[in-house]
Amino acid sequence: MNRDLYLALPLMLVLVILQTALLSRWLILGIAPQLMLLAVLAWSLLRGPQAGLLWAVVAGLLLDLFSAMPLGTSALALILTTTSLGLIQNYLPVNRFLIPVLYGSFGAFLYLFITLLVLRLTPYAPDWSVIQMVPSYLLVHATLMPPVYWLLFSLSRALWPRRVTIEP
Amino acid sequence: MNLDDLQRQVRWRLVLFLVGLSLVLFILDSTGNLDNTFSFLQDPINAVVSWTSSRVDAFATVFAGPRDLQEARSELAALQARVDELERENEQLREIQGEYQLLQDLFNRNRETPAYNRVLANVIGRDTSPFFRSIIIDKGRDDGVRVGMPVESARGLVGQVYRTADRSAQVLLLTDNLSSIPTRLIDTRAVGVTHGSTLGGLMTMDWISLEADVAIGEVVMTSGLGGRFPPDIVVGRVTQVQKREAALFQSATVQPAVDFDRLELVFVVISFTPIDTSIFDEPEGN
Repeated sequence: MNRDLYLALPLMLVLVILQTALLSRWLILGIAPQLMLLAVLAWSLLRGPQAGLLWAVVAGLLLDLFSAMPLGTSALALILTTTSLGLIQNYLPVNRFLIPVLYGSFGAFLYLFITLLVLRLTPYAPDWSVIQMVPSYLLVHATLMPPVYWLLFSLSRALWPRRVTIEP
Repeated sequence: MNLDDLQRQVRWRLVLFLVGLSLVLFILDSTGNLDNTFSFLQDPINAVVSWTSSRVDAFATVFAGPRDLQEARSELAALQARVDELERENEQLREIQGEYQLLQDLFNRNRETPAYNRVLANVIGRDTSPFFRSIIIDKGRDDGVRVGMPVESARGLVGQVYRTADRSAQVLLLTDNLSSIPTRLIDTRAVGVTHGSTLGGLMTMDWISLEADVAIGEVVMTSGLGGRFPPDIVVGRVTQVQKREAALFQSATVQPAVDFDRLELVFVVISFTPIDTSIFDEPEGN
């Protein structure tokens, strides 16, 4: 658990800088890819909901620092998203491509929906025209999820190599 | 006369004949009397010579080809490298020219309203959320930037400072859903309120009087009412007018003047003289 936190802090710092300075300028289908969201979802899928929660908190707080959203909005949305997906994670088959894609698209939808709900309760409520961006948003993040997943998979294997016990 | 003598005689005669013929031919050629004869004799021979020469040239080119081709390739590679270098230099010069133009526009803008106190800032980042339209600039409280200050560029109004840190600030763009600016149409002088939308892009100007004859393409500027924004800063242009029956006001869709995707430099208006609304204040004593 400590290693998850020690990894989350520098990695999320790098990602938020990339997100703010670079990715926001390069729109795909009018959408700026949410790399931190994908990283949190992928880590949650790889290391379990608890590790994902840690990453969600760190990522969410950093996202809100560089956004006009009230601080804690993204953290709340990411926590609820990883928790909800964590409930079904144990029932998912092991698949290194299709499952991350589905996880990514469903997670992106949940994140968007929860963030919208939270903001609707505040004076910062966006209008419902935002629904128009949902298909593009899901498509972009479902497409980008596999490379993010595989990068983090490699990182996870490097940091937590699998131990094999050979019994006589 | 024996045979030897005869042969010697014939030989000398032949020599003399040939020398004489040569002299005659020499004289005839010198006087231009043998041209036709030469043509008659030279043409067929020249044809053969020409054919032979071309065959020899082709044969020689086969061996000289690789050397020339290699040289040509080397020269081509050198020229290509030079072209690449010049293209890079050209790109750099274009970049410098673009920056110069940008600074020139900002300088001109600053000169138009010398009464305003401005701070120049670079745009260093954009909002991470899909629901908000904001930018991050590299000037903050240490530079005199405060929440609520208007931000403009050479093309027009950009937005308002939303959040500040010591050395950076967040600016909410005009096109954001939360943004609401008192504006005026330049020709009809009708006032209204222009606000953004969640999806960004276009804005809507509401509360326009029904009497105003709003034209497509009309420029929308800040009215200065409310004191939050200086007056007469360009906001955008009207692209559509919506007039509904039984409505009390009409509205217009406004295309922003600023290209927010290409924003690099902005001015934060630190201080300006708001329009005088003291006529609306109640007299003292009431």
